[in-house]
Amino acid sequence: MMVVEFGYIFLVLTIVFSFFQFCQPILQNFIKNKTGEFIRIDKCANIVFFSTFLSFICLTYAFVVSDFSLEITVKNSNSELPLIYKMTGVWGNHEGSILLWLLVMTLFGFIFSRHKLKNIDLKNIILSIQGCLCFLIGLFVIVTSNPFERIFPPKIEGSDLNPLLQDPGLAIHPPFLYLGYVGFSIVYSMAVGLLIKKKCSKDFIALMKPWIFMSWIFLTIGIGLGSWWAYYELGWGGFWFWDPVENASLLPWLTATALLHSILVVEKKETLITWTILLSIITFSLSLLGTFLVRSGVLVSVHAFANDPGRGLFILLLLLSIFGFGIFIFLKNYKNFLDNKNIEILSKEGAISLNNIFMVTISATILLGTIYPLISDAFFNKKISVGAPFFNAVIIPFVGPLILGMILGPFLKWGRDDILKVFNRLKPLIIFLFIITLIYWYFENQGPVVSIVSFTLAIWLIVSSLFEIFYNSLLRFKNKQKEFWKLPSKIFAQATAHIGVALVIIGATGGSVLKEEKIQFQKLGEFIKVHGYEIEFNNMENKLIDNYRSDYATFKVYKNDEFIKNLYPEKRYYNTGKQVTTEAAIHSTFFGDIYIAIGERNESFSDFQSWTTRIWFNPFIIWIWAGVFFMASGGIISLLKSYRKV
Amino acid sequence: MKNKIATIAFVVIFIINYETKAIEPDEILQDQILENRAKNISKELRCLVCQNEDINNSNADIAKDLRLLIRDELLNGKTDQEIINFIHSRYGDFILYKPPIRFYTIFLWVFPFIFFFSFLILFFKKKK
Amino acid sequence: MRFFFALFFLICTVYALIIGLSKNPREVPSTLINQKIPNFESISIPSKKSFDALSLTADEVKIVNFFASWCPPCKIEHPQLMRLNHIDGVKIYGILKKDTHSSLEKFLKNLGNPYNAIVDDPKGKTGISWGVYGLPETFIIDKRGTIRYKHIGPIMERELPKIKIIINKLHEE
Repeated sequence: MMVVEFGYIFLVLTIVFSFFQFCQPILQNFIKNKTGEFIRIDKCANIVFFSTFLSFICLTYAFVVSDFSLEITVKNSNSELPLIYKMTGVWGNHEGSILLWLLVMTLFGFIFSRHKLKNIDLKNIILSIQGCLCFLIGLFVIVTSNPFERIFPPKIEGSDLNPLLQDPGLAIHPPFLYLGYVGFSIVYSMAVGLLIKKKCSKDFIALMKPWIFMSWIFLTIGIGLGSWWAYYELGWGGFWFWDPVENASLLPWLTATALLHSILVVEKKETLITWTILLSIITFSLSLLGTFLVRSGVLVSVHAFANDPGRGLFILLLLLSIFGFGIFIFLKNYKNFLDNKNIEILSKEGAISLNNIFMVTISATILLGTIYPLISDAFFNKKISVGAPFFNAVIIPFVGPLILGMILGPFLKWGRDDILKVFNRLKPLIIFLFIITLIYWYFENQGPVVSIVSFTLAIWLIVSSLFEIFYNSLLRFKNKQKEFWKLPSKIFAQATAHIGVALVIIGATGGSVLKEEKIQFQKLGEFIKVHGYEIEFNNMENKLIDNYRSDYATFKVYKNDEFIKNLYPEKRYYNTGKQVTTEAAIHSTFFGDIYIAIGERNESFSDFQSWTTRIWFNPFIIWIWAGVFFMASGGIISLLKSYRKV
Repeated sequence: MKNKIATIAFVVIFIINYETKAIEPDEILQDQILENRAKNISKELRCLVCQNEDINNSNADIAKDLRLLIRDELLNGKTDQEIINFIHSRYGDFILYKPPIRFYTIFLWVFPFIFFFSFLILFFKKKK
Repeated sequence: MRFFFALFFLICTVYALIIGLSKNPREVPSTLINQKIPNFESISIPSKKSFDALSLTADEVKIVNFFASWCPPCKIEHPQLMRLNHIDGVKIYGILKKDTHSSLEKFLKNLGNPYNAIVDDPKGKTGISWGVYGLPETFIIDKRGTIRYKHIGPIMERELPKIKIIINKLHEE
């Protein structure tokens, strides 16, 4: 099919023009006397984006029409697949997902080229760097991961998209993640551009801020979606497994959070610029490192793509070049951005710095833990595993002080603050927190200590965030400012985001430590009691749907003898392969989820049906997704404000 | 490469074999406290043939065998640490999700704290 | 100065990553190499000769093979076991993991019986004692009852020479 050929040609075009994009300022420098230009750099960025986009469309077309002359469609698609999964299956594999990466990278280059920057030189350098990144990734695609690779002879039918991926979650989780990861490519380019130019302006910082915020928001949502998808799709009710791929997404998120806070300090106090630049380089490098870890086969992961050491080596070299160049330029030129300002611990910038240190420490720890098996093997010839017990043990001690910092930080002044003044400012809050804590501890004196401490901290964080809004409104009221409730949006942004963090903590604690589990052989008609609910195994039927056969169960949920709803957990047997998936059924409430999954039929009984059923009550779990939503919203409020400025 | 195929074939029977499943009702102990201990021990042990799962949730044969062993030993009055030590002695460090503290893992365990305090000093050091 | 420290750490990390590319992250080394054979329960199978830990200290080279009839790679390696059985001074002992006796009979009838003796491991406990996590797994034991080599997965035809060399070496000790 000709479309496939065009897809390949467009990809080549992308590589060629991104190379021009990269070279343009360099050539411009050598041909200083020429009045004309070799080729306009923003035209390059346009061409690069559009050709990548067209290449991607061609690949999607091949999937949609089920063109099985391509290796990628044969391995990852099937003509019986519902249309949406034909389309999203494009990125449900290595080659397609890297092409999506590239697409997003060129898209952001295109958007950036449309900025009206006063300093044209700087803008061109940034576009050049971005062009180089696109060139390198494009090269990677065409050399090691060509999605347009043909298969001879063409097959009549494809294998199938992995049933676990045949889910709406697949449609949105990777795109959001990549928008996040790749957004930081622009931030990297901006930071390196700054280093090359050796100076920075306020306007430029104002431009960096929305890019950082936008990428952070996408990454936050992407990770949240991944966790949510794992929760309902895998049938275990777990939302975080410290799997290498999950860790890979968390690493840049943590440094991005530090970066996001730093840029606020830069904006306000014109300090921490070197730190911000360094974080920009590190965050994008971590995005690339994540890509390397999950596609190279060095680590065992439930998420791993088909592994290929050849690809792994290429990505590793890419990563080293990009990170290496960034660090090289940083070490060469960072002194131009140093300021001699001291940072007082008891100040807002001190609190933010402390937050940064926490974020970076946690990120470094997770990174070390994730790759440590490789280090132990290479240097000591010892094979070890590093899993959830390790990560929980080392990270939880940091979370407590981090939350305390988040509680105190917003109330500190910029510059040096006085501890007595702080205390006076916070007297009403401290009293209020004390009372609330006593009330909470009075009613909730059972349960593990971990959950009580965790909930207490989260409550403090929520209350103090709300108090901040109240306190600032009160100040404005006292100063006789009209419309005293119209606070600067950054206060709402921050309070919302921090409340989001508290919600995530509550949800994560409830959903892990306070989980209630009932696993049994359940007969049809039998009731099982969980957390005040009575759950009846009502019916089991055989259904043929789309491309699978389903053991389709009906459970009736009652509370206090009142019928709540029906739930339909399934076991799906896909027609194409021997794959079986467990589809859980979930009833979500404010206080927790009822989560039901079915196992196998109990063969020892023939005169009635008895099945293995697993029923969980997961307290507060939806607060995790709500928390992610709040965090993203906080970011969006801030983003909209900066966008209006730019 | 050919070794890889053999290894994959050897492993694949566990991925496709759905005769045994993740923890089944007949494995669960009556005693709630012992059962909780069994679950907590299981969460620290890696399923050696799976793609990064603990033995509590895994469908593999070895996971089920280990789950049963753990419960048997708990009923025999062994402590959690004794059971983990026994399994550790048979399968090595790889089966433990929490790396044991040895000379080759000490760096991993102390790193977070060293890193944190180094950074703290770096940031808040007074400049002239 | 702290940059040199960071650089050193970076180089170590990169080295580890590159080495990692060539290794198999799923290989689990055995802790029982150069250890005495572990204690295990000898559950005999009707009409088959049984063995115990003591048998494995006899003055000859022994091969202990964990297998089952439902395991496809076990069928693949079976011819190699038949050939190993023909070496003088080598005895092969089988441990049947999670299988039925009737399937065992069919399996041995169809593919041959290289086993000097076989015991049963219906619950997988013996497997755990030996650190076995999949099938087939084969151990080579020297004349003093020490485990000297573990082979994970089926013994393929091209690996037979290597196994023979190990057996010969242990023979000469």
